[in-house]
Amino acid sequence: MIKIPLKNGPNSERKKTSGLMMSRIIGYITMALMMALLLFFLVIPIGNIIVKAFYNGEAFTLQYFQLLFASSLQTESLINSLWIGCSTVIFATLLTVPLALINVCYEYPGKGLMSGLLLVPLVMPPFVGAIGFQRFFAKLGTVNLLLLDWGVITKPIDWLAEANMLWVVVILEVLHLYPILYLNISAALANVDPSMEEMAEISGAGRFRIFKDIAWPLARPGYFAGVIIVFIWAFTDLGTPLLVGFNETIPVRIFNMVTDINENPVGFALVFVVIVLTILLFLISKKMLGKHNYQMMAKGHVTKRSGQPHLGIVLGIYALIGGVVFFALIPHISVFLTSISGDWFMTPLPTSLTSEHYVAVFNQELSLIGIKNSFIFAGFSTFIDFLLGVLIAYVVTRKLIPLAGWLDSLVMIPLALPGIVLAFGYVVTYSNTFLDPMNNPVPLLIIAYAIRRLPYMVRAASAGLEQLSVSLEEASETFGASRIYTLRKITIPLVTANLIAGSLLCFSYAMLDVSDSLILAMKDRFYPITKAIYALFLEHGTGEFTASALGMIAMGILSLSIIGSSLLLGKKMGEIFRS
Amino acid sequence: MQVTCEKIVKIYGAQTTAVHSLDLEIASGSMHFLLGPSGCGKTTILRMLAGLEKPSSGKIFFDGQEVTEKSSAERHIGMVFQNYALWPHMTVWENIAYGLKLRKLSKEQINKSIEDVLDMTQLTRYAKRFPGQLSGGQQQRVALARSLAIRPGVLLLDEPLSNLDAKLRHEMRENITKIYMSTGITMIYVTHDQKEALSMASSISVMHGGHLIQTGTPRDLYNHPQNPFIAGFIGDTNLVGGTVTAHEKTLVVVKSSLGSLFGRTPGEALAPSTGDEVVLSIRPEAFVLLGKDEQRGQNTFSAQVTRITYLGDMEQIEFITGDQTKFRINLFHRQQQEIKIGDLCHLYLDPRDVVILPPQNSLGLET
Repeated sequence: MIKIPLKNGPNSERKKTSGLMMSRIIGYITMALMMALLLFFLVIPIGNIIVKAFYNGEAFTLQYFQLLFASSLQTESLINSLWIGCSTVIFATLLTVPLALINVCYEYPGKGLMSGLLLVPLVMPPFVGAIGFQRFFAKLGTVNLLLLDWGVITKPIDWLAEANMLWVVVILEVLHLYPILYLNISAALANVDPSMEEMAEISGAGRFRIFKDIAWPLARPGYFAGVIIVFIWAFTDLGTPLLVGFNETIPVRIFNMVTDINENPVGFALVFVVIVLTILLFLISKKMLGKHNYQMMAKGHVTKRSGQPHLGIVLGIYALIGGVVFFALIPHISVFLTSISGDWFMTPLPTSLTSEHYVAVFNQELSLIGIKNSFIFAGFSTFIDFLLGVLIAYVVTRKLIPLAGWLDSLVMIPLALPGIVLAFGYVVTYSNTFLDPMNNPVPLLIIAYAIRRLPYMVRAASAGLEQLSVSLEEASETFGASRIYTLRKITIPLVTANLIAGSLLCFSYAMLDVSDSLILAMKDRFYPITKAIYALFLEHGTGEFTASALGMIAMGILSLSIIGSSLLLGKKMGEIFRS
Repeated sequence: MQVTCEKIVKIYGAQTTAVHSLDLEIASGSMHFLLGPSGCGKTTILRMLAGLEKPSSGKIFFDGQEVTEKSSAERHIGMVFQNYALWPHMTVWENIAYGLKLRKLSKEQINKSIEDVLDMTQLTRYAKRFPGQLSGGQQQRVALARSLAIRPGVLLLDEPLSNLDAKLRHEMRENITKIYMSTGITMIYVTHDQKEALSMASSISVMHGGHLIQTGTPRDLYNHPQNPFIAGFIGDTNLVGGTVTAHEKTLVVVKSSLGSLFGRTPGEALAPSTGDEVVLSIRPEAFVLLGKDEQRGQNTFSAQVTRITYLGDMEQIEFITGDQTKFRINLFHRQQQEIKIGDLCHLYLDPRDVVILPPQNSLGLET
């Protein structure tokens, strides 16, 4: 007879306590790691900015703020940026509410494909699109030439005139960011229990009233979660205004001030204002979100009744979504055309095609360095995100320590934190230390990438862990397995899809990071791909074409990883972009 | 309000038929139950009555008026959902007021109606609370109050107690019965819980696989099941196959594995002819255990004890006959002699307790 050794033998009591200790230790170590990371790379840099905004080296002062608000350039920039944020939210809302309603109400052939297409602009970096946009709307660009050809206009319209620049930026932001809002609203509407709406129907409410009284109020928290992200992203996006040359915006001002911050400390005051606005907005949205806890009710067994629309409506839906996607992709289409155009002068479309710009990309040191650096930086930052993200998600979902909920909130802070603020803080805090970005920005770049994408990883991992029944882990523990062994052998293998998806998201967003890269990478040999694109774009001659080709390569990488992660995450995708 | 279904059919997609040509008449003022296992089509019928789904064919009448094409709002009904469907962003008061406001009633009328139903459901204290701040039982009562406030012609309840624990469920059964008694409102109640149905219903329709199997009062269904499915679904029973050998006055003689038994048919219409295959339904409590020397003549037979389960108020004893037929009896009062596993016992059945039913497959059901 085979004797099976007792794993939980005579000293099982001791084992049990040590198991509990173990989970506590994991919890507290994770908490400590997270706190340290946030302390050194978030709290101290931001605290430093705040202090320097009010302290001139000798005494407390409000002088920088006086200077800031006395300068018409700065106040104008502030107003412009606020306008960009607000307008982007408004237009994105007008665009996405109907789209989300269609998505929730109708079941039509090709729905999956259409929903997927709507998300495509999200993966297209707006600052790359800005290059193409300018080509299309230049005085003698595609749009004007076509309109002249058709006789709609007799003189070319100056689309990109100084006065229109704000709207150019808004349009580019809306076209890039609307998918975030769309995902949030669709998810929120789909989560409304159908019986809630049916009850209103029985009570005598019409379709519009049901939407106004029941569906919308219940979906509103999800909407605000999206709004806050869209606003902050548009408000603090550096790449788009920089590339279209709209310099009277806060991010561009901050970008220009970084280099001579020691001579001109008004920058501190400016960044401080951005921080205050961000925190304020974040608090307001949290208040709106937290007003009622709507999640407490059991979901009914009733499934949503999706209507099967007539052919006419289906065609209308196709036209609407097709139109939206087409407009959203115009900038990128034109980037593509630019990247393959041999001759493109005074004609709506290139007259000859060539692959020489792509060849140029691979013959140029700058772009090769950029690609290589980006892979290295993004790779390392994703690795950090993976380790920390899994641990944090595990500690939070399994409530290993008393303050697990706090940990969750802490991790989400970077989601609303503008990259430009963080990068600015790093420069002013770590200059002249061993981390000085002037000498070697690699550690700071990797940390900045990691910290800002950590929320995606945590969300993706939590989504998987929440669906995973705890009893599967408990079953493993009854056989005497330790927490860590169980985590490694049972838990992680079962949420692999989520982890891969989260990592891909982290990786691709790190690859295309603009603000940290532009500010922190100061020397050629440390340029990541985005700064290389920017540098190429500024070059005269064929720079614009090479930049477009490099931009296309970057978009290719990003598309592949996002498609991969959405396939793996499925419908959970929408929850990643919630604050 | 009288509710009539005429040849209602509901087909989902290309294949699934949820309801097969249903004819049903529910008398005004009754508490009618739709009872059946999950997937039998009972909720689908309720949702068609509510106007939330359209029948594929057939007609629905409320008090003789056809409502098949009318929207839910026009039908003036109340509904209690399984998960209550309380709007979490509105207080209890606002939840109840919603339907009243849509009916454009005056402020006084609205307030009066709300106060009435709050009083009826003992919720007055909770009027200002949000649903999330209430217990399951209280939420249940709010759902009830909200549906009653508009004084609907008929109240539809979709498994309203299935989310409550056993104790609350009992309490709510009484509450609903009380409200039914005091308002006299017609209620149509969907459940899979036969105890709930037997204890509350004035009439029950048992459904299976989209078919209506039998409609009747709880007593009817228990004492006069018309087929083996009802006999097995309502209460507990032993089903034994057999062949009709003779008719004697009102009784029928069946040759079965329990021997030759006298029994009765549930109705004239179902009387089988000699030679027909039938199924006998015998309730476990119908068996009489005979003493060693007791003689009753006809309808006696013997079997061997295979298992005894002690349940406190009664004992369940399982038997096996010479030809390996198993059956189970309930003994409420322990009779004189000790019974042990392996004992050979004599049993007697009153012919009234042997119900002769058509064989299972005569329903056309796949069971």
